[in-house]
Amino acid sequence: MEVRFTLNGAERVLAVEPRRTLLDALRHDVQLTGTKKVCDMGDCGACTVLVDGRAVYSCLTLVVDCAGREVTTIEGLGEGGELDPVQRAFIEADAFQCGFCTPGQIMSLRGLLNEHPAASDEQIVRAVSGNLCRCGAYQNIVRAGRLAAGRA
Amino acid sequence: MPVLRVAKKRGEDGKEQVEASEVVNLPRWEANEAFSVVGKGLPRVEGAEKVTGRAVYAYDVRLPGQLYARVLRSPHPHARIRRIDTSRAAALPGVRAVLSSADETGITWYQEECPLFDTTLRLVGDEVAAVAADSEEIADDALRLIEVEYEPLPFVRALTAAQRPDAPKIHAGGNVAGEPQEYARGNVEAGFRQAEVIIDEEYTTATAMHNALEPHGGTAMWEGGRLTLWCSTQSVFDVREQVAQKLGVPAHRVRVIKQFMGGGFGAKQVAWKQDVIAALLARRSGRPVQLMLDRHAENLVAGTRNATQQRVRLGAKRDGTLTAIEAEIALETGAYQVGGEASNVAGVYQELYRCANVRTEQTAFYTNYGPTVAFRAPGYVEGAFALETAMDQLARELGMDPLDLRLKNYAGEDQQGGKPYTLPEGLRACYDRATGVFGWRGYRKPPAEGTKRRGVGLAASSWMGGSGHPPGYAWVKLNGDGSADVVTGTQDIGTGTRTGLTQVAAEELGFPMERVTLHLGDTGNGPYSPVSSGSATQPTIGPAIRAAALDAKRQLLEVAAELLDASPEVLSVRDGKIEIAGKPGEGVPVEKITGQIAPHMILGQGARGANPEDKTIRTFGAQCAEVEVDTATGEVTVLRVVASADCGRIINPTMVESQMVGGVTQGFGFALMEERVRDGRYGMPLNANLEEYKVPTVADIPRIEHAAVGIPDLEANPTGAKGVGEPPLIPTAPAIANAIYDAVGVRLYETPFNRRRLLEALAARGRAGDEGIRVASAATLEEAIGLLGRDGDGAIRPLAGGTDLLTLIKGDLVAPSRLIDIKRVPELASGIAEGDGGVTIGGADAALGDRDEHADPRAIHRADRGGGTGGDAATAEHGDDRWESAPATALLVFPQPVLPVLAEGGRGVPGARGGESAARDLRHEPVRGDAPVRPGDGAGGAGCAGAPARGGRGAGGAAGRVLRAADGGASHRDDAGRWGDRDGGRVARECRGDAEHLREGDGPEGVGVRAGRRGGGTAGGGRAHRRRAPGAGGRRAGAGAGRGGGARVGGCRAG
Repeated sequence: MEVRFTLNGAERVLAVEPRRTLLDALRHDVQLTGTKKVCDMGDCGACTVLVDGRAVYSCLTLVVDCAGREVTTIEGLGEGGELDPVQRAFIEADAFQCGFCTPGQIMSLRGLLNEHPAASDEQIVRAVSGNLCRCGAYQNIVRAGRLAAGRA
Repeated sequence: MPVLRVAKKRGEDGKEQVEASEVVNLPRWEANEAFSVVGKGLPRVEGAEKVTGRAVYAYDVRLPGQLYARVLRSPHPHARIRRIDTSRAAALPGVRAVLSSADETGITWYQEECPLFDTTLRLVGDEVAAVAADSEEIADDALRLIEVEYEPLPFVRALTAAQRPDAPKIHAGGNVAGEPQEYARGNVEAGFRQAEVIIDEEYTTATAMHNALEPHGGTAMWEGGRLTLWCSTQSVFDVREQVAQKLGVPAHRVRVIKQFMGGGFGAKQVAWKQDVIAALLARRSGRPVQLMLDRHAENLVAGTRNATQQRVRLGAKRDGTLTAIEAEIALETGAYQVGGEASNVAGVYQELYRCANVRTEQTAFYTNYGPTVAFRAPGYVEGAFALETAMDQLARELGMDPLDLRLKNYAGEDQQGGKPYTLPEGLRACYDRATGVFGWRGYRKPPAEGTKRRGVGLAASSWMGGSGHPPGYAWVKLNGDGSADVVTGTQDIGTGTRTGLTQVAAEELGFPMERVTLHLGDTGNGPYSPVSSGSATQPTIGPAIRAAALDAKRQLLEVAAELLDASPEVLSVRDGKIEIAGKPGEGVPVEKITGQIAPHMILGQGARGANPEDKTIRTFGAQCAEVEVDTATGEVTVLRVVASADCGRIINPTMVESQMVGGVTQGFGFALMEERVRDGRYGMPLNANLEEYKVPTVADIPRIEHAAVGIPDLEANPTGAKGVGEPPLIPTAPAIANAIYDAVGVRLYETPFNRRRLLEALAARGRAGDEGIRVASAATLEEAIGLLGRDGDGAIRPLAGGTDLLTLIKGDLVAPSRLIDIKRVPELASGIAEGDGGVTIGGADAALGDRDEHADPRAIHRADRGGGTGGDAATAEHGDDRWESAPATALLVFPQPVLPVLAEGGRGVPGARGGESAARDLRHEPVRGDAPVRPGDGAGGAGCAGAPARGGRGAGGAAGRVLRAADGGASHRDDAGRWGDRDGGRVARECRGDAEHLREGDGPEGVGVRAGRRGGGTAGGGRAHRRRAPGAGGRRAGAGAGRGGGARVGGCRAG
């Protein structure tokens, strides 16, 4: 079936099976592979994207549910070739090692900061508590959140 | 320019061998060397790619016409395939290639040389067939069309079971994997005779799963007879050799590429079946094929840390001098030997302390579970837990500060090889730094607050890695624009290799960082480099790159000397400019020189020379931990960890700190959370996913500080830098275990230290009296009642079966005195039975006894592939049954009547029919107060019931999320379908603690002996609890109702 939505600011129309998740649609149908598949069941947060500005697990979201909505992926962050402040903060704070969870972590924090631009540590921890990082970069992820929230 | 030296030599076996090594004339970077970029905490050079999603991992490769492959896996732990029919799958539109045991590939796998698609399957997850199709969904559909008839075979369910003489044989030679490894120096028995204090303990470590976020796998593409494989691997060259050999093509026709990898942690250092299966499917279909494991398969077949049993004896004089160390070690290999870095559990016993009399024996056993493979400091993590806990115990026995005991037995040289260490004072520096930053000597324990107790612990580590594995090579190209390309065949597995190596190149060249580009991870471009394991990459390739850079710089200065009319001896390169001695600030930009000769270019060549022959390289470490233990709940909160490691010169303090903190985080998970749970009856891992296998989250971790040592190890290699990937994981678990002892005075002998284990230990020490819990096994109901016996003037009354019991103990509501194993009692096998005196004995496992007719492991297996597409309700129900399989095999008996608070609940004795949830309700308020909601308290059930279905597959995941949220207690789901949080990782962690059942099989031996020794019932587990809504029934409420109620909740997950 056909689904029409906004992806990173541009209108997209995709012909998909109803069972296609947003994650698979992103990774296969539009080949935006920055959004990662890890658990495919809502346990790890690596597939986090923004739908209408809020962080969601794209592996638990069917793409047909995104009709008429605005989807933002890691590839859609930043403007005019500049990195988003969250992306810059991740580099500055060394908030990743292998980098596989990083897009999801960044999108979770982007979602938080959209609502709470000066988020507290508690809010930051809460926002990424559904994002696993097996390399163990958590301390620096919180630090990056603090930087992006302008509190460092 | 390195010189290759080759010599023929006759080996011990009389055969001629070739010995080769490079002689590299590379001056040391001295201890007082002045650096411009080395030692700076520069950000990762690949940072922008990683934060923008542009970094292409193996999983992200997209080629024209690319197919996606999926693998049908064995639902049985041990079975023969009687018949397989893939014709319906092959006929499905969109399916391009199918492989199974019906195809003679002629390829064998594992060290046992079993066929790639074997007709004998040896673990749940073993490969049965593979399909390549236009999409993953079609491939999944095709797998469901494959018809297989299995003949289940008896299987080995646990490490303990593998060692029994009557155990089923997994391979023709029996269940001992490889040769037992024995080591001895001195006379250990004489050492124990000299001892004035002897510690003699047994330790067990659980199977931990790597769970690198990117799974194993890759993408294979044939062009003519040439294969390109984008592979998630720690060793492009090893994969190339192995894949070429398996496929029977020359290695030069295989190119392996790995630019970015989502973690490996040791498990990705060899070629795995899926690499070759992808290549075969690609050849058969004529299209590129991507085969990445899903999370479930990743945890079933792609390697785990080995479980161990260790018996440790330490002998010491009263002054602390060790007189003997002995360790007898059994480790679980799984169904196959994979190869790669070996698990050397015995190593730490042999080298961490000065001791003349040491004996170790290490034997590996097959079981019918996934193969084990190196996991970040393999063996040393397990061994150090036991040794360092035993050392702490020894210190307590002797009345010594554990730090003093360690210093008393300090080993400054390699006692196995009789050689000094390259940095003999490295470990001492670690002790100094870790304890100094932590404040070990001056630590004053704060007074107990309520039920909360604080304590501190110390542990040390050695590690055989971090030294470097020559050979390894690099080239440096100097370009006309004054930039440099550094080419090497190594790989960055996420550790910061790109950054650290670029710093080394820039430093030696005298170029600014941004003028140096490092190329790696491609056998088609770079010269050979070894596997990135053993913390070896920086110390192996760093010196090779330095040598290449030096070679290039020498040539550059010769050219510059000619063009500038100067002698090369007076020239140097600094910040991209060529400077003449005595004329600072008048440098000539490098591009002025290289530009004049372009397109001629300067090529530098470098190699890693041999390690020193007369000295041994080791990386040591020390860590201190402070914990707070709640004696009422068994909850352990790690407040902080201070970690130091002797990793030589620190090239980049930011990267090293991230490695240290990340390593401690994994050590924290190993200590407190991580354990593969399996159903011993069906041989099935139960938590092969990231929902039930708990890895640390941001909310779990303590404050972790790196107490940097940073003494250049100039004997190790000319850069003075050693590796640091693995050392920080080693001492974390024993430091935490020792801190727990310091806090509450109980020893934990088994990882992970969850609430159940801690509460058992507390119960055994304290309230059950000196004798602890007595354990007995009954074969008949009469015998069971007889074993209840009498205690003083009050009758001992049966109280509860295993699962109920645990909740009661955790609530501090009961003080057990006897544990009677009634699993073999036939009258109780069907579930609920009446005891005398009107007391209902809940105990033997209702669901388990009643479920055989429903137990089609295949159905369970399918359902367990949660997150797959579709799934049907029927299998989901069966799938849920596995949660009901937690056997309550034990009956605990208490010396006093049921506590009034429970009796007054009006629902009868907990554990009686229908009384369980009432008991739990009662328990909460008075016992827990405002403490976090505990697993099983009902949030899961309630939330699940309310979870909207989001299509077949969405609901599966969503429900999983609900259950996870329930773990956290305070979580909720917001409008966007995203779970708010896993509030209190502590709580999430404790849920893991509940997932205990059947860790060593369901045999009473494994349960009773350990339980008796340490005190506390180990039978049963709370797994089922967290899956039940209050009042929704439950296992105890009768087998039928239990399944109905339980299935409803858990069924959401797979439904």
